[in-house]
Amino acid sequence: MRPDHLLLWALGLSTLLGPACKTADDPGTSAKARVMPKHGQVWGRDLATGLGLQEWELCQELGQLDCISDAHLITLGGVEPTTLGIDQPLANAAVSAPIAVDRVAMAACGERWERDLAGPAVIFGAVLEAKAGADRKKAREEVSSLLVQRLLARQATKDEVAALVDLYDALEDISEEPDRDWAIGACMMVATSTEALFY
Amino acid sequence: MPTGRLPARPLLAGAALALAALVLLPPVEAQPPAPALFCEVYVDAPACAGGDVGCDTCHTSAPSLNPYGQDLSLHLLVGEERPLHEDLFSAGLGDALAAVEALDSDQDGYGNLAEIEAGSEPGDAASQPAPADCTDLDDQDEWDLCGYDPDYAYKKVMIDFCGRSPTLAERRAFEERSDPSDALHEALDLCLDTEHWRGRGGRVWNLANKKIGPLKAVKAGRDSGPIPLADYDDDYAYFVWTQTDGRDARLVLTGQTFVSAWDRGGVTVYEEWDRSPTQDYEQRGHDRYQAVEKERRAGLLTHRWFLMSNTMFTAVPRTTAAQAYRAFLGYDISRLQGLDPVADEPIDYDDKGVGAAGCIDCHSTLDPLTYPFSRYEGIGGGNPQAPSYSYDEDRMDWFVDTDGADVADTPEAGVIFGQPVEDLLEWAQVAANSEAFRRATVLDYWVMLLGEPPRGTEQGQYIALVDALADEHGHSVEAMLHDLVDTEAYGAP
Repeated sequence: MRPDHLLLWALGLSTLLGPACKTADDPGTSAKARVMPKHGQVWGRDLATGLGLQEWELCQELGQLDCISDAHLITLGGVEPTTLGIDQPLANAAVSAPIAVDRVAMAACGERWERDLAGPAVIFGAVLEAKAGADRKKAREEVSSLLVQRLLARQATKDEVAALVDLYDALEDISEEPDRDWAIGACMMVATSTEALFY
Repeated sequence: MPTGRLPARPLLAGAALALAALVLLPPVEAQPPAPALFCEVYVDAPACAGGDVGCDTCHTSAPSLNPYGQDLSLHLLVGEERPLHEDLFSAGLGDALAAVEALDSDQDGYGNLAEIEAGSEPGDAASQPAPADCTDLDDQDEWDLCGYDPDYAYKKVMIDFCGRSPTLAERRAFEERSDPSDALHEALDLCLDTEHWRGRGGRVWNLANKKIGPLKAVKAGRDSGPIPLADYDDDYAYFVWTQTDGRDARLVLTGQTFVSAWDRGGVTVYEEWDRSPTQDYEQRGHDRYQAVEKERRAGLLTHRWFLMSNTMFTAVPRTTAAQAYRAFLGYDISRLQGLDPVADEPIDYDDKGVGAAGCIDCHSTLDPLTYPFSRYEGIGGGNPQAPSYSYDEDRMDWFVDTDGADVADTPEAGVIFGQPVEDLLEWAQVAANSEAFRRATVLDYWVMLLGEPPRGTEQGQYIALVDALADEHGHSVEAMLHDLVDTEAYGAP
């Protein structure tokens, strides 16, 4: 993991998942309040579909172990009854679960960026093609909307797009490759949002 | 007979003495009638829709008491010497319930009676009555927070059964359907055929983990371990087969054939087969063949893996019966569930001291539950001439040296749910046709899909599914699931 990615990760969590993500109105409260975590394989499948990757292309720990089906299987809600005796998902998320989620999302979003760079682009094309000024901001808005559409299967709200686009301002002065870091960071923020991880 | 009731656990268990002393609560003996008595007082409480209230009304995990149970204990027959006789407890519980109605035991701002009437838990601060008037202030989000939302249910069906979220295009197509209910059930039908749901390692497959208890170290066949004794793939395949394609789920206990799972181009295919032990030995070898003759088979209960991992070397295989009772009927005797004492039991044929005080409460149910399993060989210890994991009518004669002379008198006939049965086949029939079996079956899927047992307000929906499983669903799990996704418990955000 590259140090600038760590910075980007921290920025991402603090912006998108904070108040800026909420709509202006009170969204209402579910009387049932029954929220379940997606199994790691389901989340990974959604992530792969959204990013136009195969599931096995999302993330490999040490370049060898599939993150979701192997390295972080139990952490991400899987079971392994035959050798570990874990016959049902852990009742409470493991303390390492957020780390595992971040690692998978960062690897997958990074992979998507590299592939888009090589072309043909699937998600980040607008940012890669934008030249300067207003075009660049518009490109980030376009990519932000696309990320929400592909990863959350719905249209993005204006607030969400604004929050994602604003991340660029925070990165611009501290990143050597702000376009890349913004693209991967925005992707991570959507991919690791509560909405992406729970249902 | 405990059918028609939630697992019977004591309201106040004697084992809580130490804890009770710590919190200055008067210790009281186990009181199995408490759940039923509660519902005699609060007949219209949503939590009583299923007949009896759940144990968690008063307990955290039995015998520990939650705040409501503690308040009840403090107001129950104050001054009476503990432990209380069951009759005395029964006579005093009504007054104690009344005495704590006005309290707010869990201090969540709602009185105990208000919570009972609303269907929330009076001993759990996280459980509170739903707002009387539901409001969904936000028209920007996509969900209807005030009732069943087909769009939400569709997304959940896709995640739960298909193993993926719907795409934006799929969601739009669903929203445009004029018949969302039909569209939802069409999606469910498609998802029920996915690998995520019914494939090897899929959700139904993993539902059997606790029932089968796999252990790779002693697995035979595919991916065998170093000491191959039996192949639990047979058990998994059989279980999934009984739960899919509209089959009668009772076959899990009563079927007399076997099933294998094959990978055909990335799709798991289940194939039923029927061979004699000799034929299977010749085809699959000594470490995998199923050794029980067809006329003595009772679904998973007589599968090689089940007998190997539970009966092992024991004469009177109580562990086997207890696992069957727990895995397929939902009663964990070690938690004092499903106790239904048989008069003059336990007889203690194998001289294990099960008639001692402290043992008799469970063994008066467990031992007669066990006798029908006693003619099925485990790994060894029985007739050396009989193959392991086979049926042997004279099996008990071979344990006299190790378990005493009386062990030979162990009957094959037993009792389940108060009903005498001649052998394991009859045991399995009674079990499979019981309400306990239907409750356990529906509960398995309810917990899988909703993450928790039915809440107090959901007892009616749960019981409706239990009842329908036997009637209109013909014991088909898939038919039951079609109704489950229509419940408000499932489809309200």
